[in-house]
Amino acid sequence: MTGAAAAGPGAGPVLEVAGLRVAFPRGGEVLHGVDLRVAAGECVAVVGGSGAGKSVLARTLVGLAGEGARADVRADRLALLGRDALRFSGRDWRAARGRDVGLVLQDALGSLDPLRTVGAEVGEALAVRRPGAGPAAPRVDRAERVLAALDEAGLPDPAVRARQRPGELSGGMRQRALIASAVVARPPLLVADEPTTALDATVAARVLDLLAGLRDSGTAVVLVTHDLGAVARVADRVLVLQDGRVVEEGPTAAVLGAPREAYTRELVAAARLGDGPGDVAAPGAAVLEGRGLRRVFPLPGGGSLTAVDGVDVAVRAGEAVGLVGESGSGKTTLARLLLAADAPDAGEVLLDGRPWSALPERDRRALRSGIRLVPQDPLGTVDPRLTVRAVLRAALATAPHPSARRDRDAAAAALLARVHLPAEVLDRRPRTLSGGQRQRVAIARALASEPRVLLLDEPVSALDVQVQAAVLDLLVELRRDTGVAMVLVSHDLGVVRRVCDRVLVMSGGRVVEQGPVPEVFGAPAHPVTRDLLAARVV
Amino acid sequence: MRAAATVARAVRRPWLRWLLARLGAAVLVAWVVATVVFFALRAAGGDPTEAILGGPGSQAGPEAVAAARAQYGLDQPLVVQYLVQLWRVLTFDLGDSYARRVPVSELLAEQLPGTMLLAVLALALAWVLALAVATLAVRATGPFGRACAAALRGAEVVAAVLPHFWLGAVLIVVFSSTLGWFPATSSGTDPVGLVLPTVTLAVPVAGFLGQVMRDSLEEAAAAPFATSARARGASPVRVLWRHTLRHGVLPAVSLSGWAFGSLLSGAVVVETLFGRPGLGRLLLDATMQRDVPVVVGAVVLVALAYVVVMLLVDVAERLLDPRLRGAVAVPGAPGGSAPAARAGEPAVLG
Amino acid sequence: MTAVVAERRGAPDGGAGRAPGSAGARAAARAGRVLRGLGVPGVLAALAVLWMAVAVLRPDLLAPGDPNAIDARAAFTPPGADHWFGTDESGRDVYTRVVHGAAASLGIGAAATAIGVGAGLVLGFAAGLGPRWLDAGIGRVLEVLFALPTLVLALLLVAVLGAGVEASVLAVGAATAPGYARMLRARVRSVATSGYVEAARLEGHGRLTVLRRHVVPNTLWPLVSVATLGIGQAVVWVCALSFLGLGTLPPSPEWGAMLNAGRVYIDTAWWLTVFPGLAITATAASLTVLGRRIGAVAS
Repeated sequence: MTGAAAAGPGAGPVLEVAGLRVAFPRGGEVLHGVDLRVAAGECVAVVGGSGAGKSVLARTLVGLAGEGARADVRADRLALLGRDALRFSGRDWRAARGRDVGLVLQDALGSLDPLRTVGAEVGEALAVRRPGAGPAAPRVDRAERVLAALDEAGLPDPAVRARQRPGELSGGMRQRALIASAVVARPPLLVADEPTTALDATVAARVLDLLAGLRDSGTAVVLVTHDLGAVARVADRVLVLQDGRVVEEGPTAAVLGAPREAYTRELVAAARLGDGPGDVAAPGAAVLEGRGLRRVFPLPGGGSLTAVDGVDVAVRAGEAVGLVGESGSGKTTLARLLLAADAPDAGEVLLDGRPWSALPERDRRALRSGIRLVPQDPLGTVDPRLTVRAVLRAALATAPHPSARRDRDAAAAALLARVHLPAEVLDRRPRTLSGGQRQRVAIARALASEPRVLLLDEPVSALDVQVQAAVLDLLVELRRDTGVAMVLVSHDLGVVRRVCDRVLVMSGGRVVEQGPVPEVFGAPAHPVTRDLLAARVV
Repeated sequence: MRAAATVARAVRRPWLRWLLARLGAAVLVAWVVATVVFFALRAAGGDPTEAILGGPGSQAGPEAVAAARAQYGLDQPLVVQYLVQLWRVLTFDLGDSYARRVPVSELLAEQLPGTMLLAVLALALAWVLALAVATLAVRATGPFGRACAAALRGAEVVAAVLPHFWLGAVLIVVFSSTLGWFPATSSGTDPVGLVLPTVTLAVPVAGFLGQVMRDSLEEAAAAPFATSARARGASPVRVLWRHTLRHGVLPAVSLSGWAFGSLLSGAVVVETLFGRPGLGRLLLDATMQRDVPVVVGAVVLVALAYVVVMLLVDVAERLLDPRLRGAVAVPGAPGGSAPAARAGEPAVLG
Repeated sequence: MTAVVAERRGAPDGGAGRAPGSAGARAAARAGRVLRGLGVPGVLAALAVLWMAVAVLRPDLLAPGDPNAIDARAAFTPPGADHWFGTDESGRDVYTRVVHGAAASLGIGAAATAIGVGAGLVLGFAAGLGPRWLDAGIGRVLEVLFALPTLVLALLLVAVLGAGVEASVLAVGAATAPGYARMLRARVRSVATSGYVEAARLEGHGRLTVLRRHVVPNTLWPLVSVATLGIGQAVVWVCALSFLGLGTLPPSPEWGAMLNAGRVYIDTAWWLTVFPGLAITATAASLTVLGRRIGAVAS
């Protein structure tokens, strides 16, 4: 054990963990004996759903498991650069953090102090006084190294960025700055916890390339993620974590190509561009139609933003149309226009061939039963005081058919059965339900008025992959059984592939590509579509 | 060079516009307050001649009444009186006190410094107490430390609701009557005499600011940026001083304007209790005597003081939080449009 | 279906299939939850409020004597076994007077809060739901009122209305109204622009239905906690006016008036100011703690 004390990059593992158990006074044991070895120049991915213990593992590796709660960390072995980290005191960990191991968290907006300049944040690892390591680097030297780190992280104009605050940077630049802040002191080990989760596909790809570059220059990288696309891009080996246990481990290609465990197989299947919706009835006449739609938002500092710029779209009865694009592409604004939640500055929306966006709200109210929204965040769209029963009864009150109105309790239970939820859910408040259950309640609520069109706004983006698959299966089943037309807004091509027949790709407020799903995905013509696809393929 | 000048102008202009807007608001507040106070008091207060001639039950003859009315312009129509009063306010001539027969501006100038000294000292002491308690409570570890932190938390809640008239009375009983350390009555800037009034005013505000600070400090300590700082090797002391303290102090700075107002409320009670001359006492006496010019002058002065304090609070907030300084256009910085677009899109979808 | 099972396991409290217990057990569990929600300070505050409620409704149960009984020989008796809080200059028992004064002080505080909340409700809803010009107008008025500290505003109103109990109630009510109005306006605004109100509107529910079913209840619910807190504050303000000689006048056993009368003797008979003041402080503190706990439990 002591023989490896002098181990630097290249000799022996940078990180060696065996039988790691972490328990909290409330919540019990979260990790039940995890083994992990990372060598210099190697990237090991830790994947798993929410609640698998990934983030606790990442924090334990930098000695921060006990944040906020008293954590009990035990292991057969926990060695950092050959030193026994189990015997580290608080001071030892402080000396090691930033110098021997760096941590990158998700959500770079929250992970960089919004009141300090980017330069101060990046330079902090150089500025801190490390117990037993002499004085911090001199200020001039520090400034140079900060600029060099920002430059290496691929930020244009590092000198300008260093003086800006995190809020003035775009999401991708913030994430790069955060990575720069973790590696500025050149730690041999980098732990990245979901570094690409909040980013658009194209931006995420570039951040992953940055991580790959660090790996190639000799840094050992632990990549904690739920995104198998990211894993395929940079990881040499994969560890699959489920309920605090490693259920499968091996080289990336082997694990992703031929997963052994059922859990891994589910993850891989959900990450692939899966099957289409299968046989559905041929589409009928157009139910929802937008012509020449345009929406311009004034910006706070003057000027304006054209969110939707001359879009034509038609949805036929029984058809499912996917609306994809990166954030800011205008897909959500377009959905709001179609729903008549917002009025277009130019153009018109027709419902069943009759005026829809042009009507005054008073006249539109009676027609609203024909088109319903399934929101991204179901919790934000229900009154926190109400139970599921009250929510469904209110939704049923707007149904055009008197039969549903007569016995609303029975109708509510029937709606829940249709989305495969037990009737007990009726008397619970949505915030006590799981994410998947909430989304099913939201779908039941939307179905209550027997609409002809469902607008789904990122309906599964907040859910774990397995839960996503189940909700998407439900959507396909509803298409087949009820023939309801769907408009599905998503940034995830796999979701669109599973449910939709046709797809519209948006960028900068315009539709840049459209057509049947197999054709567009099989031979993408526009660079945005290709980027989105590249992020998906495992 | 030219680019730098353009940026500089872009920075300065919103700042100037902001200052002008604040000054405009101050003038508006002063005008509305003066108008409302004038008409309210004249509408409900009956004939002020009585106040001029020595209060109710004075034995003045009709000639004396007529002379007094002419002297104070009370024989003019109400609107004319109002306009005269307004013009005087604009020229800092607030007329003469009915009861004391001296110019109101003189009275106010005499009483303002003492009250301001008291309020500023109390606010400073409140900040020191609140900061000490909040940082101690946040850093407490171990069972004993946590028990102390919980006790401090309770003390903050009680302190925040302590009425000035009672706290002051208890302090007098303990430190003046019993121990004899400090005098129960005082005036001017005698430092020993200032202690009890200052403490009386400061403790409730300290309790309030302490709670606000502790809440926001705890929130900041749990934020991801604090975790990131720890992950870079920052010590707990460094995380507090370089990161969380600024976040913890910001809401308390914003509320200091309100706190200052409550100190002026408290000054009325404290000056009465400790027998100190000051703006609060003056306002109380004028209210009881229906001395309209003094009440108008004192109230407008209090309103202006509040506006000035709010201005200072604004400046302090902007110094502490660069996000408030407005989006300064830096050439070639994208991302400026992304949050704006998000702000433009309402709740449900998005 | 396996996926549904997996989801349910992931639910924060897997209680979908919880068996319903007996009514008594459920009531006990509910009471336990409420007590745990209140915490130790909350329970203490609730007990203090209970004591005050008894003092208001049946003061003779706590202090059977006559609050105005004069006994010149017993004047200025310090606190002791016979007179827990001592006696005043006429030999009246201070404890009895504090208990019997609860009704006046709390009643005045509650009335002032009712006026403040009532005015705040009208202004807050008008500004929050009305047209933009009305909101701007009310906003300006509130801005001006906020430039005047509460007690200065109350003094001004007393100057207009004249001293006395009714005037001090009205003055404190009006002086606290801007605070309630601003809070309610913000609350109405946040509820009216919330996702669930927009969702209800997109579901085709009319304006009145949305107002009745979502906006009003979600706005008023937090008021319970705010008004509880507010009564404590209002008691302090009303007593401050009495203390300054502008509210209830001394012979009455109202707490502020007792303080005002006792102030003269502060060097010789400290108990005349300390105990009524303690009652005011305890009232304000317990109502504040209770109000906050209610707010915390409600959200």
